[in-house]
Amino acid sequence: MTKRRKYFGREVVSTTAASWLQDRLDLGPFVRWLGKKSVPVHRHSWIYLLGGLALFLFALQIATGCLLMLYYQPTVATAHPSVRTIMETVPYGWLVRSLHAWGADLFIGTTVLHFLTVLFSRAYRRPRELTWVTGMLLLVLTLAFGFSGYLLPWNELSFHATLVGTSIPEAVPGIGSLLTHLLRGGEQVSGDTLTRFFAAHVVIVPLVFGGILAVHLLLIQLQGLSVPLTVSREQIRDDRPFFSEFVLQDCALWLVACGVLATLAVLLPVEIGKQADPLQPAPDGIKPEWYFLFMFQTLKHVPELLGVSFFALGGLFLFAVPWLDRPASREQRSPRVTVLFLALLAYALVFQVLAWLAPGVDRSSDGLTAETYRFGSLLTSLILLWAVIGFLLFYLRRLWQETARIRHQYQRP
Amino acid sequence: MKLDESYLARRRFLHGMLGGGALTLGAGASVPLLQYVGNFREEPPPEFLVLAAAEYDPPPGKAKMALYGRMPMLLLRTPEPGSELKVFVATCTHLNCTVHYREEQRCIVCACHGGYFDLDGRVVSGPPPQALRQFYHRVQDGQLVIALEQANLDKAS
Repeated sequence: MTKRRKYFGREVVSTTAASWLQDRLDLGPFVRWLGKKSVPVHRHSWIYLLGGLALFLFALQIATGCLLMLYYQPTVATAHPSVRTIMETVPYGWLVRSLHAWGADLFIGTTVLHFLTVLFSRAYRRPRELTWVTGMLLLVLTLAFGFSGYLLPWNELSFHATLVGTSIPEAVPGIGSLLTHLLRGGEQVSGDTLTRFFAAHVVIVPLVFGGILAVHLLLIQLQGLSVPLTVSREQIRDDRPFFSEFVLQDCALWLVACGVLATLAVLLPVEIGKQADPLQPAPDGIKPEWYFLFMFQTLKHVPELLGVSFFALGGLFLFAVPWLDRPASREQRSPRVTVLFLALLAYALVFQVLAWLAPGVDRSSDGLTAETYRFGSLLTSLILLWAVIGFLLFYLRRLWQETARIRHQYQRP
Repeated sequence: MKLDESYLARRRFLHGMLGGGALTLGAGASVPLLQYVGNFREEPPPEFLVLAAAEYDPPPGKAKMALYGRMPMLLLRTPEPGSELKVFVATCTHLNCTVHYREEQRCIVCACHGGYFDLDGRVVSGPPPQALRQFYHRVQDGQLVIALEQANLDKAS
């Protein structure tokens, strides 16, 4: 017995821990339910990874955001100097802030891609309308995260972007100026705006986001994953268990995301910018963040009221699309809706590219002077990081293949 | 179907490799993380401080407060007769409250837990375990030079 216990030390510990927990909570139904969770495998299965990737990037944003809050000071007098302190004085502050800024871009990009794949695969169709609506709310909140966070460094660009962004609701007839006043906490973008944007960015939006995210995830757990309309039952090659094969794939993608994020943060650390000054004119070629570009470009070409109504209608259409796309809810293909989606996507892409092509603000940065920004050793760290990631990817893949092989042996009749 | 021994061995090997890789990654990430959170950077207190003596030398029996770097400092001119200037670190040796000079009792008091120090900074009563730390100081060309070390006092000239 003692010899056996010594040899299987780890197993003994984990069995003891599991039975301790089992004595107090009956985990049986939960474990059985986890075991039943599976992911269909077909030629478009990669789209199932996007939601998990967005979730992971969101978790990273929370982590880096908490770290930034240790040093950031949200007042007009101190916001910009404290961001400068983070970038130049606090050890590795430049890294944390760059990870947060690039992480935001990757998070929003992944969310948009997740949205597009769900849209085109008609995953919103009956019975998943509620998952779609919660997802759309999360997309709107994601953009609210980006918009509120952009003001916090209180630099020239963010100040003017907020001036423009908060004046857009003014076009709404009747209550427009009230909406703008509410967003700004006054007539002008001021210290009150900064404080409420900070509150929105770190408390209000995250709380609402967390609640809706919980419902979104619960619905997915209850209903399982949707198979695209274009994939027939015969084309589903396998039913991959969520634990552990799909989770291992998720982990592999998350590792790559970490590597990409770290590489971007080290090679292209974000700028500090000039402190906002309400007396200075907007710099030439000012543009919003990339996820608002197509809207920004549209408003350049059409009257504001027309543009805002168009966005509002487009948004409403997208929210209501599960009920408008009748054929899909009967499990039939709906090519006309696809054409409509493609037309909307083409519009967004064309205006996005137009906005990209227009000359932007001259961003000749002075370079980072932080003591911890030593390019040579950072490059070495990056290479080491990618080596460890590659090592982990290799063994993750081996483990997942091994698990699948054994499972297929069991499943064979 | 029976699982062969090699499967279990392979699995244990894979888990070991993955655990090791994850540990390496975590250890690598924790270095910048700890430095960031701890805000560890060299910020020693100044070697010495030069103040205008006229402004910072209080009249006999009075005290003044000033900052030495981020450290509060109590400048006290003891009452007549035999009045002399004393400069203390104004931080109680018990639990770091800032002390003050109480004129009527002729002692330095920490209000937090009732610590009393005499005019030399020695503990009279209360919980403080040690005397108040004193700064070295001298007057030079009408200026008051203050330092924590005797050696640094001479660097000012």
